[in-house]
Amino acid sequence: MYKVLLILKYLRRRYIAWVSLVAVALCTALVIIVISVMGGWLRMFRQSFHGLQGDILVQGQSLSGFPYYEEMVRRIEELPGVGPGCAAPVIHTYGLLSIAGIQTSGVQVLGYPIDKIGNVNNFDTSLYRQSIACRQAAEQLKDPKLPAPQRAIDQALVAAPATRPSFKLLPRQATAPLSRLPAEIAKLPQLSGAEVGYDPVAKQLAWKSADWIHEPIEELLLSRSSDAEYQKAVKQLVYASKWEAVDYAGLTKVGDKALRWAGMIVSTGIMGIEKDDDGQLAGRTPNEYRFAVTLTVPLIEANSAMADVGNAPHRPYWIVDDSHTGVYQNDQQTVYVPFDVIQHDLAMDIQKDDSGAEVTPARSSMIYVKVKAGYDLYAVKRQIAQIVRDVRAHQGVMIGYPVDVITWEESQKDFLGAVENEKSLVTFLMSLISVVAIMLILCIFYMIVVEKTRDIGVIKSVGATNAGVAGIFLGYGMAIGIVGSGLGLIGGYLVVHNINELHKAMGRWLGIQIWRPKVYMFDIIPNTMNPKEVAVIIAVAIVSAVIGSLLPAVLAAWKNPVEALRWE
Amino acid sequence: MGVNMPSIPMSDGRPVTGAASVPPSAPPGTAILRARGVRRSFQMGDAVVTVLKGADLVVRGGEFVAIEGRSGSGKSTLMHLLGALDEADDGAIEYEGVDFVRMSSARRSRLRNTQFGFVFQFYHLLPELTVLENTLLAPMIQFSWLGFRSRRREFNARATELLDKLGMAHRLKHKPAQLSGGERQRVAIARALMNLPRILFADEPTGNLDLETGGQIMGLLETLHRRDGQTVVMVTHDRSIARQADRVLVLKDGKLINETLNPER
Repeated sequence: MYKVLLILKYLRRRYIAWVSLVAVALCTALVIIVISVMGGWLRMFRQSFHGLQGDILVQGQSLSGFPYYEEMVRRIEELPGVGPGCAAPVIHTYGLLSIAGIQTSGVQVLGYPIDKIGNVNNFDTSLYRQSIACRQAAEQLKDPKLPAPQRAIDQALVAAPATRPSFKLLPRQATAPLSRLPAEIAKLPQLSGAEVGYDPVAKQLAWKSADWIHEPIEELLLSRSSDAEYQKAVKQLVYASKWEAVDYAGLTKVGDKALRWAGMIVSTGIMGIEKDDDGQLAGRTPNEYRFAVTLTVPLIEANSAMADVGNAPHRPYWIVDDSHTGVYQNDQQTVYVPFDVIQHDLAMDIQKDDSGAEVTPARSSMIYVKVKAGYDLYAVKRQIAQIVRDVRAHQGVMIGYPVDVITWEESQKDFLGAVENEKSLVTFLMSLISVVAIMLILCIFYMIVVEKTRDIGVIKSVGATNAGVAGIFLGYGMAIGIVGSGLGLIGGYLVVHNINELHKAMGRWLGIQIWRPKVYMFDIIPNTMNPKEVAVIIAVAIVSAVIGSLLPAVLAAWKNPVEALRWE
Repeated sequence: MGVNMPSIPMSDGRPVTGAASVPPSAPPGTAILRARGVRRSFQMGDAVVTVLKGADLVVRGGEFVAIEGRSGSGKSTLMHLLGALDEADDGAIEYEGVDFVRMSSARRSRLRNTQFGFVFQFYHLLPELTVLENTLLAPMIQFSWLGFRSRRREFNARATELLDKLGMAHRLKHKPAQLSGGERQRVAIARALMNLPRILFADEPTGNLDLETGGQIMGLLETLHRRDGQTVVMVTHDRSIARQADRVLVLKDGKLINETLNPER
């Protein structure tokens, strides 16, 4: 009883101990913040990559892919742990994306069978036009005060796509009649693209007319007109609109073939769409989903490491949507195209000779597999590996086209391992700070023990045992740990839950940006706390405080009561 | 468990009888504490100073023994040894026939808690605790948290009554820093008596008090001894104070060399 009483009294009265209490609180808050951010980062990383890839990957070791994937897909889908539609072939390669003929950049290319991809990963939820905008529209429709024009737009958005996701163009809207083409544009001289690009008048005109300029062009193209007057006007508009980064110059050459162009979904980074200060993706233009681009991909010869760059096919696409997965590396330079289109361009479809006989079977780079809930991932992985072996053996593929069957975690093990190592390193560094706190507690408690020497003698003279005296200071240390870690928890919680706002404020007021999406791959700082991790941190803080008080407590316990009573 | 309260004078000096019961003790006259050939030295730098050179003493139940000696003669050291606060280098100290050497540290602590009470010259109250909490220190140490909580009312009643009889009832919630020297010594006596000790050790109990307050404190000790049969062992350098005891032992050259029976007793 006296221990509890004295601990409570010391806790309230010994102000010097508050320094150690603050040290424990700061250390706890610091570790909670760091571990939460690092752990959250790792969690987000895992969730995002898991969401992008599916549960199990059958992955060719070469960009040339592997054959007989259809049979593998069919047999994998027959597994009870997978099910119909839950194995999707994917082509992975790299290419050059040309936008409006004025900007070319290297991109990662993923060929998706769009009708199945939603079954195996979360790609469909990353799409703006086909998912995010629809959700936002559905939310807005709940507002009874929504203006009628906006309501109509939202209703159209929610109702429009019959199947999602898709590589189809937006449903056509009512377009402006061609007669509305302004005379100023019709009067534009025939200038070369280079000249117009630097002409301030043309630039200004293009800018002002950006909203409506594309509608007549689209109308023109979709009507398959070959009227010379229109062609001339289109050429003029194309030059004027170069600042809008639209490759309509290419469209006029292609003519009515444009209708048959494939759709492409691009990552937000390609479109210059970035999060603004409020954390919202900004930078979309009204005509974004009518942009035309050209993708060039190098041919990789079957079962070879040779790339045929000279004969690399280039194909025009319509941009039909943008994707924001939250994973920086996917959101910067990635394009998603129809599986069969890119397979054809890469000559990964069935290759036949002149007589029509199959020379090379169709190939795929990967197969994404979604495993049903409740099934053991590794058991299904073994079954899939067996299927792959069986198919290869059956088709006589003994060597070449090396294939791995791995879980999504294994596919990212290098990166996940590095992140986990970084987390461990940071945790270790934070532990060193905790050691400093322990030393601080030790010093302060030693001072308190020295200061309380006579009281120790008094307590012993009244019958307290050595263990009892040690218990006072150990309990005092524990109380410091409990209160300090409690305060640290509150501080850590407040910081973690407002970390993005604090980061923004730091950027705004101090010009400091610590969290760089390019480095950390996510454009928001993780702001959730893991209760288990927090519990461990709190426990360690309390144990640390007790450890810090251990030596002073032992010294107090072993004090000779007579010497303690005589202490001055 | 009943409240066994020694009868002690109130603050106005008028003796009263408490819930009459004396501390548990052997029949009066029976030796309860015995010291034989006790030696104790201290290392003072390079030198070894031998303070006690074979002190012998017998304390009988119900007697008031004063140990007189000059400053530095070793009387406090002897009291600490007798009270199991310190260990002798040589010789034996027995309580109820059991040598302290044969007792564990925990048992000696229990002895100090339940059988001995200490009153020091400098009061030695815990500054963070109130008067009542200081008084309750011995039972708080004796019992676990649950044990004390379950009997808290009983202990509070005993402490309050004890403090009331010592004239400190109006100071229960005060801290030691808010009390005078005499008041602090009264609280120290209340603390020492709380667990009904068989032997009350008093180390220069009036040494830090003015004459009048010191007289009051001595009056308290005398009353405890005379009315309640409390065994008191007091050390003092003041012969006039020592003479208030039944028996006066003089500590000189490390030995108890003289024994005087108080003729007034």
